[in-house]
Amino acid sequence: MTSTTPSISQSHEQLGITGMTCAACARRVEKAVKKLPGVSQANVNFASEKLAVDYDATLLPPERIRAAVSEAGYGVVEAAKPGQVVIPIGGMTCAACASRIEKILLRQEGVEKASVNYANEKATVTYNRDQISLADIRLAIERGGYQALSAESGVDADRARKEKEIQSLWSRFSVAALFAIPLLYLAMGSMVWWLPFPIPALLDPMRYPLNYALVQLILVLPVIYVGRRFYSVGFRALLALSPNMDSLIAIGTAAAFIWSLYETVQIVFGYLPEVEGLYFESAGVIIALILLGKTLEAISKGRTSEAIKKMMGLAPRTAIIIKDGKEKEIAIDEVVVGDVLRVRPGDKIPVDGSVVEGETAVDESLLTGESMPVEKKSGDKLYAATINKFGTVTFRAERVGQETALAQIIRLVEEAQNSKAPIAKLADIVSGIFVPVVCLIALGAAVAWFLATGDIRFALSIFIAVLIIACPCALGLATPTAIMVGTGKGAENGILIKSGEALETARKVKVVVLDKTGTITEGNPALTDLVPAPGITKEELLRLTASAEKGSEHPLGEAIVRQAGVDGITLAAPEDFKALPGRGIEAKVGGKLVQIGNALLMSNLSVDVKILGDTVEKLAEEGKTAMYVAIDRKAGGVVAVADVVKPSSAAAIRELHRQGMEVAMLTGDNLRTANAIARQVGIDHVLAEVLPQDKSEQIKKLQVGGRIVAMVGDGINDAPALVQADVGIAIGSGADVAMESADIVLMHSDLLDVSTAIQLSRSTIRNIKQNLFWAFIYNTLGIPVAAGVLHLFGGPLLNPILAAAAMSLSSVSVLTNALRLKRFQPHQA
Amino acid sequence: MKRSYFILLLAILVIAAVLAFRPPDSLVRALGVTDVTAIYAKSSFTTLLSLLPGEDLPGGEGWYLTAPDGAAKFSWTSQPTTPAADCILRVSAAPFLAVGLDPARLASDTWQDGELVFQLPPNPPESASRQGGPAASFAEIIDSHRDKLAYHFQLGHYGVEVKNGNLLEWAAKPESNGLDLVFALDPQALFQAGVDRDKPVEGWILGSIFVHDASGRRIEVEKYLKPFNLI
Repeated sequence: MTSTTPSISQSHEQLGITGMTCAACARRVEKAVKKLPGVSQANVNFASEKLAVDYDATLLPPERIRAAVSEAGYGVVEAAKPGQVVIPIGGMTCAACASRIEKILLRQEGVEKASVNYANEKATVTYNRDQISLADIRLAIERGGYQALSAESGVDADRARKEKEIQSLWSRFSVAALFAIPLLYLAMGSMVWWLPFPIPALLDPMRYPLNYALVQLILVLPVIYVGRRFYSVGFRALLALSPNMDSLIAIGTAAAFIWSLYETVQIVFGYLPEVEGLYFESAGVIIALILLGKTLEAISKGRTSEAIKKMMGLAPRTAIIIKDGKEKEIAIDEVVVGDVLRVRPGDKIPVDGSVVEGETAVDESLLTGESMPVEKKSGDKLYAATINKFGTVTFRAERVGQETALAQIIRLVEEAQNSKAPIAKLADIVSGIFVPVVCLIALGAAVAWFLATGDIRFALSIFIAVLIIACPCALGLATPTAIMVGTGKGAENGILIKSGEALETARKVKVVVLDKTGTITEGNPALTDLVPAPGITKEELLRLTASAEKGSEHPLGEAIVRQAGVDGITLAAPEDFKALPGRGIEAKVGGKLVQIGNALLMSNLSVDVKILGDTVEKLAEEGKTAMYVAIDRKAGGVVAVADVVKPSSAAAIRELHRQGMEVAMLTGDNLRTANAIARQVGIDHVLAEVLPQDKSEQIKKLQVGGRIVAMVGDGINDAPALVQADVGIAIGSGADVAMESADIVLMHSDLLDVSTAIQLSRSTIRNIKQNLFWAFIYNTLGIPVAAGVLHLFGGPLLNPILAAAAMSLSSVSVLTNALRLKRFQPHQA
Repeated sequence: MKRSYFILLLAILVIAAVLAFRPPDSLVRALGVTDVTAIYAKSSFTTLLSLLPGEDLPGGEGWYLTAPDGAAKFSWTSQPTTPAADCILRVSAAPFLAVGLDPARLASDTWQDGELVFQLPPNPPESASRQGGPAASFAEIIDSHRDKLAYHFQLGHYGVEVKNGNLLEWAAKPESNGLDLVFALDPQALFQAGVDRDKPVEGWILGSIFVHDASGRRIEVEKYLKPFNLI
C-alpha cells in the first residue's frame, strides 16, 4: 500500500514492504533508503511492514526509493493508481475467457489498458474517468457473460494481501509439517521407547543405514523447498554483510543439511557409524517450527492493526452521484471534488462536502463523540463516514479520497503506528549488532567444543543450537506491536496519538496544564442566573431580556436568547436596538424600554439598583458575568451568564490527581473568574490573565527541574503552549492549528480522555517493557545453554529442535502479550 | 497450496509408509543396491577370514572359525540343499557349568555333547548355490538371512544373530578396532537354566550393548561377550 503527501519540495511517502522477517530486515531497509540523496528520515515498522520516508522530491525521484528497497532484497506493495482498478472476475473457465474479457474491456471507450489474469481471476483495468465509470466497466463484463465481483478497495486489498500471506505461510507450514513429522519420527522414534508405532525394518539404522539416511534426505528436501525464502534472503543478507534472522536460520539449517549430506556419502562408502551423525531432522523440524512461528506471527500481526482497519472500513464504498438530473451509483474512488451527491436516510456520507439542498440530522459521533445527531441544512458541512439519520440531502463534494477528515485521522494514526518510540531505539541497536555477535558466539562455542572434545558432531549441534535460539525476531516485534495496538486502542476511544514518542512521554507527565475556555468549560456562555426585582417574574424578566438581545450578536446575548428558546418562551421582535459599546444594549420590547448592561450603564441612566443588593458582586465572585436589566428606566433584575464547566471536568481532574499529577489552569481570563472555575473543579494552580503569546513561557516555567508537562487546549491561541509542552493534547473538534501542534488529539470534547490517554501510555510502555523482557529472556538464557555453558558443569544441553521451538515461542509470547492491550480499560473516578 | 495437492502429498506419504512397513519382495530386491550393511559386512567378513582363516568342516560340508582360546566355534555350510543349519555357533559349556548351569533346563536343541549349540535354520535352501568358497558361501547365507544381519554402532561391528540373541560379531575395520571378533551369548536363557549371574564366567564378560528390538526401538541388553583382537 502506498500513499504520498507532497509539499513544495519535501515529500512524505509510506510504502508497504514485503519480505521482512525480523527487526534486522527493517534496519536493512532503513539503511538502504537513508543512504539515498535527499532522504531526511526513513523509518521502517517491522510489525506493520511499512516504510515512512521523508525526502526532497527535487533530489530524489520516488522510483529510486522503490529501487533501493528492491536492491536490498525486499518488495514494495503498490496500490492501484488513480484510474486503475482491479476487478475480481467470476465465471471464467479457460484462458480464452480471459482473452475475451480483455477484448470486451478494450472495446469500451475510455478503457486504456486491460489485462485479465486467468490464474488469479482478476482484471486490471486502466481507464479515463471522464469517459467511462467503474460501473460501466463492470456492466460491460457482466454483458459478456461473466461476473464482475466487488472491486477491491485499499482496505480489502491490504486485507487480502495479509490473508494471502497467512494462507501462504500456513500452506508452507502444512507441507513442512507433513514431511517433518515422519522425519522426526524416523530420526528420533527409535530412541523414544513409549511411541506406539514401530520403525519399519527397512529403515532400521542398524540394518539399513543408507535407506535410513536416504529416506531422511527425501523427507527433508520438500521442507527445505518450502522454507527456501530463509536461504535466499538470509544468504543475500549475509553476503551484504548485514546478516538477519534469516541468515541465522539459513546458516544453522544449511550446516545441519550439508553435514548430513556428507555423512550420507560416508555411509555410501561404508562408514556406517556416520549414520549417528545425521541432522536432517534438525534442519527439517527447525524450518517447520519457524514457519509455524511465522504463521502465528502473521495472524497476530494482522490483529494488531485491526483498529485502523475498522476505521478504514467505516467509509462507504459507493456514492450516489447526480448527473444530468439522474441518480447513478458509482464507486467511492470515482467521486471527484465538485460532484453533486445524494444521501438517503440511514446512508453514510461518502465524502466531505457542503449541503446544497435538503435538511437532515447527522450522527457525527465517529468524529466528535457527540451522540446527539447534528442538524444540517443548506451550507452546513458534512463529513465522510458520518451517518445521515433522517432526511435526504444533496451535497457537493469538497474533499475526497485522502483529503477527507476520516482519511486524515486514519493517516494520523497510521503515521503514529509507524513512528518509533525512543524505547524502540534500544531494540534497534541490540538487534543491529545481535546477529553478527551471535554468529561469532556460535562459531566460537563450536570451535571450543571441537577442540575440547574432538567430536565434530557435538560441536555442530552446539553451532546450530546457538544460531537458532538467538534469532531476534521477538525483539523486533516487542515495541512496534505494542505501539500499534496501543495507538489503535486509543483511536477506538477517540484518542489520536500522533507519534510513538508522544505515547512514551505521556506516561511521565507530572503536571497537566488545562486551558480554561473550551477545555474545562463548554466554551459557549450559558445563562446561569436570573434574579428578578420585586414585582417581576423570572419568566417576564427572561422574555424581555431575551427579546431585547435578539438583535445582538454578542455571545452573552446569544446565551440569553438560547435559554429563552430552551424554556419555550415566545420572544417579541425588538425595536430601536442599540449597542452601547463598553456598557451594554438597549431596545424596545412591546413598548417597554429594556436596557441591559453593567453598573456604568445603570449609573449613566440614573437607574437605582440598590434594590438588587450585592447580587452582581456575588455572581462575579463565582466567575459569572452579571448584568443589570432596567425596564423603563427602573431596576428590573440581574441576569448572569457564564461559561459553564463541562459535566466531566471535575471527575477528570480528580482522576488526574489520583494518578499523582498536579493540575494547573492556564487562561487569559481574569483571576476572579479563573479562581471561581478552579474552585469548582479542583485545580491546583491557576495561571490567569496570561496573554496567548505568554502561554508557552508559562509552560517553560513549569518545566523547570525537568518536570514533564502536558498542555491541554483547543484553540489557535493554545498552539504555542501545545508545542512547548512535552506532550501537547488538543481537545475536541478544536482548531486545525491546535490539532497540528498537538502530539495527542482527543476527538471527543471530554477531559476524561486526558487521563485515559495517559493511562494508555502507561499501559503501552509497560507492555513494551514486558515484551522486551520476554524477547531478551529467551535469548539471554538460551544462548549460554545452547553454547553448552551448563554442560561444562554437568548440566543439560539445548537440542537445536528445542531451540527452534523456544525461538518461535518467544515471538508468539511477545505478540500475545501485545494483544493483551486490546483489553485496555481506563480507570475513571 | 491447494488442498488437493496437500491431500496428494499426504497420500504419497501414506503409501510410502505402507510400503516401508510391508515391503513387497520386488522392493526389497531393488533396495539391495542401497544395502550397504550387507555389502560391507560381506567384504569385512572376507577380511576376517584373512586374519583367522576358516577351516573345512568334515565331509566338505562347510567351514568353521575357532575362537583363539578354542572355547567357541562358528561354522557355516557349503551345502545349500541338505544342511541341518546354515550357521552354527558352538560354545564350550564348561565355564557355565562351573557357575551353576543345569543342562536339563536348557532347550533340548541347545545342549549337545558338553557344548551350547545355537543353529540358524536354512532359508531358503533351494535358492542358494554356495559355489564360491567360504566368503562367497557366507555372503549367500547373509543374503538369505538378511534380517539376521545388523551393524553394531557401539563396537563398530557387523553381527549375525544365529539364534535367540546369540551372535557372532566381527569388526567392520579390524585395523582400527581393538575387538576384531566377538562371540556374544544371550544370558537370559542361561540364567533361567541356573547360571549365577553374580559369579564370573571364565573366558566371558557380562556386559551391556545396544540393539534394536523387533519394533525398531533401541534397547540396552546384557550379553556374555568373548572378544578377541586378531591383529
